Amino acid sequence: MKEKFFSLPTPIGPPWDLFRFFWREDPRGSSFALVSGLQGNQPNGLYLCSRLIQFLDRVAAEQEPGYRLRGTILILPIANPNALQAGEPVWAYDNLDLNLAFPGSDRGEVTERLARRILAETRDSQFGVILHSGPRHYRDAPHLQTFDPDPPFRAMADAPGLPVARELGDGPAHRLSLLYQWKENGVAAGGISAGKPGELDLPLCHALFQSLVHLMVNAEVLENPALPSGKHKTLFFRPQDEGRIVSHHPGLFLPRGAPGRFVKQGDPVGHVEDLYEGRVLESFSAPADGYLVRLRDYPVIYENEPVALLLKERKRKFWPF
Amino acid sequence: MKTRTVIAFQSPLGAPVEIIKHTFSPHGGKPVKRISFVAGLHGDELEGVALCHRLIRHLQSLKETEPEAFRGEIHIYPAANPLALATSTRLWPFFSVDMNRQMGDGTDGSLPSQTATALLEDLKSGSDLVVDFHASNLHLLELPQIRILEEFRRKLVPLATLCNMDLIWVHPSSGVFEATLGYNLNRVKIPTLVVETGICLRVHRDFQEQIFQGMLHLLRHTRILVPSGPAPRVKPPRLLQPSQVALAQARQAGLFLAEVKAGDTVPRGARLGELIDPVGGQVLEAVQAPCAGLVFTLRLHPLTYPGAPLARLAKEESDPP
Repeated sequence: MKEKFFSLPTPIGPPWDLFRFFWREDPRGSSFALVSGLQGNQPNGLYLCSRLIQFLDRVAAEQEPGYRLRGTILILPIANPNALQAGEPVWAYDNLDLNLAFPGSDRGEVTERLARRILAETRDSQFGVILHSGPRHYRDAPHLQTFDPDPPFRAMADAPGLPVARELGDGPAHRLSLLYQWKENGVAAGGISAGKPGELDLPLCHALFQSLVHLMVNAEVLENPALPSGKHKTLFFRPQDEGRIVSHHPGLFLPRGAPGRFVKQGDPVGHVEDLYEGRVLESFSAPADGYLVRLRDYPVIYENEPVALLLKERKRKFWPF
Repeated sequence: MKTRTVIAFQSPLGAPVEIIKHTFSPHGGKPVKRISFVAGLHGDELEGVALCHRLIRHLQSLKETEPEAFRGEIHIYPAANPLALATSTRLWPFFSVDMNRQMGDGTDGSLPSQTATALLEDLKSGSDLVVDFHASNLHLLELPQIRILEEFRRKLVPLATLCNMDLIWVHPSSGVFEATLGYNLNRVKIPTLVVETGICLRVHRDFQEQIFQGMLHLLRHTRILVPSGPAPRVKPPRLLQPSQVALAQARQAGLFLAEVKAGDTVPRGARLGELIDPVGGQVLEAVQAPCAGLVFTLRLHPLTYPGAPLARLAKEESDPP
C-alpha cells in the first residue's frame, strides 16, 4: 500500500511528498524497514526499492508462486526528495546532509523535520536496512555495514549472501546517522553499500534484489518454503582490520580491476599518473591479504587521498585462501 | 610573525593546498598563555577571515613599535578550509563535506577527515584558549554573539563576557555539536569561544570593529598582550539562558519580507514582517514578535519553508511569561 506520510509545502510550486509503502500480514509478526535515497544522487537504492515494491505487490496478490507475506514490511524509497530533485547528495538550500541530521526535530527546519519523520516511521521495526552507494568518488563492492554486530544482526547478516560486513567505528558524525539512531532504538540494523553515486548499475541491482528477498525471508516477514536456505557465511571485519591504500601523489588514478575480490599481498590495485604528461608517479599493490571492498572511481585525485580500502585478513576459520 | 604550515597537500594540478598558522611569540621568556584564532572552517563565512586580517595587521604593527607588549603566544589560522574559501562555499567542494562536522572522528581516512584531525591536533597542542569565528548561514543575520553549550558555561561565560559581544547565548547540547571544532576542544578542557556574527558571504564593518575591540580586550585581560595606552572599552553582553530566547518561525512556505532590523527592540506582538505567497499574491501571515525583546537574529534570505526561523528575540526581563 502506498501512503503519503510527510508533505512539505514549498514557496513556489507543488509540495514535496514523501511516500511509504507497506505490507502488513500479521501485526504481531516481525517487522522490517527498508530506506533508500538519504542522499539525492544514489539511484541504485531507488531502483531496487521500485523492484521490491512491484514484487511485494505481486506476492500480496498471490502472483508470486511460493511466496507469502508475514509480519510487516515498510519501504521508504526516497528519503530526501529535495536532494533527489536537485540531483545532488544534499539539498543546496541548507547544505545539510540528511544522514547527519538524525534524530532530527519536529520543530526544526526542513531537513531536521524530514529526519525526525523518517526515524519516527521506522524506529519501531525489528529489522532495518539502509541502501546506499559508496562515498563520493568511490565504488563499493556490495557489503554490509553495521555499528553493532550483536546476535540479532549476525543472525540476519548471512542471509543476503554478501561476502563481507564492516563494523563501523563510533565517531561523533556517525552518531548523527539513521543507522546509528536505529541501533540506539534497538533495531537490528545494517546498511548495504554498493556501487557508486550517480550511477544505476542494473546487474548489481538484480543481484541485490535477490539478497534483499533472502534477507526478508530470514527476518520472517516473507516466506517461501521452497527457497533454499543458504550455507553462506559473511565475514565480519572490525575497524582495526581496515587498511587504506593512500596516494602520495596527486594526479590521475587508474584502477586495476574492480572492488569486490579477495587479493593477496602484492596484487596490483592501480596507479597514479601525472595529469599532464601521463608519467606513472606511483603504483599501488595490496599491502596484505584481504578483501578489496572499495576502490577509487573518480580518477582525479589529491595527494594523500585513499585509493582503496582493504579489509585485512585476520586468522579466521572461514578465510577463503 | 612566524608562519608555519599546519597541513599541506598537493591538488591534482600540483599546486599546494595549505592551512597556515601565523604565530606572534612573547617578548622573551615563556608565554603566559597561548591563544589561537581560527577562521574560515566554512568557506562562505568571511567575517572571521577579515577579522584575522585585522588582528594580524594590528599585531604586526604592535610588534614593531612595542614588542614588550607580547607576553603570551598568539596563533592565527586565517583560512582553515582554503578550497572552500576559494569558492566561497560552506562545504569543501570536491567532497561536499562540512569541515566542522569532521572533528573528533578521523576514522574515514578521507582528505577532509585528515585535515580536520591535523587542525584539531595542532590547536590542542598549541592553545590554552581558542576563538573560532563563524558568520551565520546564507539565510540569517546575527548580531555579534558567543554561543556556549550548557555543559561548558562555567568556564566560558567569564571569558565570553570580555569579548564585546551583544549577547552570550547559553544553550543545551545536541548530538550535532559533537563533531564540531568548538565542542572537541572544550571537551579536552581547552576553553573555546564560538563567535557567530553577521551573515555569510558578507563582511559587516560595524560588527568587525566591535569584535576586533573585543578581541583586543580579551588579549589584554588574559595578559597575553599588555600594550601601553588605554584599554579598549567594551560593553557588557546580555547573558541569555535558553528560556530567554524566543523564536519566530514560518508556519507556511513563502517569502518573508522583514519590517524590522537586527538590533531593534520591539514590544510583544509587534510586526516583524510578513510572509507572502509570491505566486498567488496573498499575504499568508503577518509575523509578530512572540515576546518583547531585542531582535538578535533576522532572516534576510526571504525564501522560507515551514519551520524556517524568521527572527530570534532576546526576551525583555519585564516581558510576562
